[in-house]
Amino acid sequence: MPFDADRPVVGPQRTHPLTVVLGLGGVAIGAIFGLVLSAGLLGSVIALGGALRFVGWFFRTYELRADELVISAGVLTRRVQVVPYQRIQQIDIHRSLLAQLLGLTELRIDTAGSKEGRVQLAYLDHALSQSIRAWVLARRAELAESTTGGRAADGPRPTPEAEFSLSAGRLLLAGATSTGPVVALALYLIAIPVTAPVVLAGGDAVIWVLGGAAIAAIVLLVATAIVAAGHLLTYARFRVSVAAEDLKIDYGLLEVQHLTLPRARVQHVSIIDNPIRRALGLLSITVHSAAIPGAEHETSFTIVALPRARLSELLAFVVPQPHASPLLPELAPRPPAARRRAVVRRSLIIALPAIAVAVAWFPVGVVSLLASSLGVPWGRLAHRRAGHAVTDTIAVVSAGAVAHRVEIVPIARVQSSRTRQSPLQRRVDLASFSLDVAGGAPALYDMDLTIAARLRATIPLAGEITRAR
Amino acid sequence: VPTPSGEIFDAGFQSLDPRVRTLWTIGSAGSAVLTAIVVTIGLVLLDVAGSLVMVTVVLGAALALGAAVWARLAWARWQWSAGSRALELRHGVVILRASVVPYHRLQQIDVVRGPLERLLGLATLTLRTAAATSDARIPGIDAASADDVRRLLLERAGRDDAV
Repeated sequence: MPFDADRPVVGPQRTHPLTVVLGLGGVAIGAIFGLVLSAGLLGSVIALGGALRFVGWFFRTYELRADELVISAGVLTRRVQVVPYQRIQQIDIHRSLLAQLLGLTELRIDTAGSKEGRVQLAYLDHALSQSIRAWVLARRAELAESTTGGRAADGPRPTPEAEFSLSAGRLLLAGATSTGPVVALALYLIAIPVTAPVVLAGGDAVIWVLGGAAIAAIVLLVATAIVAAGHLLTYARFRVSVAAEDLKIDYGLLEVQHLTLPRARVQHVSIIDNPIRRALGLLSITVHSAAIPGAEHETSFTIVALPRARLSELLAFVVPQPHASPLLPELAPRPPAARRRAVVRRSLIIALPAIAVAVAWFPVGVVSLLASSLGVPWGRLAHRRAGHAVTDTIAVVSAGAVAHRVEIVPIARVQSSRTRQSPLQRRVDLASFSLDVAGGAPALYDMDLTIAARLRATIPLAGEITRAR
Repeated sequence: VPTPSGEIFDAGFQSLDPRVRTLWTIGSAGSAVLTAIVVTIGLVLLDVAGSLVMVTVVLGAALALGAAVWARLAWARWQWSAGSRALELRHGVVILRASVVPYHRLQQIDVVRGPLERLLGLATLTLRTAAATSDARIPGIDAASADDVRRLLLERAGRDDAV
């Protein structure tokens, strides 16, 4: 369809009239103060606030042009925002509970190249906002096609299709098995030997142990229920679908989110699991994207309970495929000196409170020092789970004993890299290594210094070659 | 002293301008000494025992000396090199840090000059990439050459947004 670049396709148009009412939150606060003082003041606060909102709304218009979105606002000083479709990274639909009740929608448009990159169109009729979003995305694709030119000649590229959704049952399961309750349980198990001597020193040990166990169980149960209910509310109707170059994510009950993430903009992917989830064959995966380069905020979405069996299917859509190697490569372990440090560090973490107990309830309290021996299996497990791998397209770092975390970084997205050496690390030739990407810095502690220095020098430069290809 | 010509690339690791030691010493010792002076004056005015005044004076002097030593150590460790494709930084007194920032990731380079830096004829180059965590700040560059260094680095930077 040919467009005249200078004439709007749609508009200039105002947003939905109810915008005036929806933005009255501030006026409501003023009204409460007014109510306290006098009815006359109340009336004038509402009238003034409403009038200002109305004027703001009346003079704010948007236009959909052939190549750009134009938003004009302001009474005395006119401000015109021009958003070329090709600079748009993301158009998201955001609906607060109130907006849902009124059938309205807020469109959030993120662009590249500026820190003030977010443009909001609030509020629009829901159906209208959906068609605007679809039209702009289609137009962006057309424009991209015409500028890259040759690409269309390759013929239509295959459109991958996949969908990942979460049932209510699985959401509850994810909430119940999230790391919080697991960590609480682990802390409680450690606390028993640490605090036991205190009880043995005075008081009825049996009642204390049983009572303590009962209280802990109740607390765990309530915490788990709260987290599970939170998951259910936040991630209800969760659906990720892959459509050509974009990932579309829809979820939420009270706050409804519709996100679109360009697959090529994925900055890093975190895979997190814990012993219970591992036993159930589930994991949580977060995909981090960068809407605005250089800005502090990032855009991400989390699939809270993905069956392990579908991991590689999802990864294939969000990280570039390594050439001739399995999707998640074998991880190289850290040197033995790192295991020693992992064990010592964790033993100390347990020992410090144990020493306090030992001193406070000397001599029976000394028994609590035994608890610090738990640091040995904890540290060894952490060491076994830690490692790194680098292929020609991705870098992987992994760490964590209980809550295990694997970070995948596309090499083409790496901005810079760093190493850091504390005096203790220097003695044993270890270094901590981080990769800087937009919106995060995945890191591996206690890596072999020579390897870390080599990766520091090569990975950020490899990105240039990968990108050029 | 960094060379202001086009010779910054592949010249190996270089130190910061020696004047930065003065800058850092004044920066960290200044507040300590100032506090010590104010406290001493206060103590003298209040007619407090002379030994307490002496302790304050000695403590202030020790802090100033420590700041000077620290600044020298930090300067001795600070090295930067503009390679053919990336900037490399090495610094840190207790914790050693090293970072590599490829030119094609540079989005913005700022030249910042604080009041003390202006007095000493120094400037700080702040390089930005799309990652907020990138460590790419070169303090203590000779002010006269800072703009040249900035221009030379920008010439090597890529043109796309590189996210």
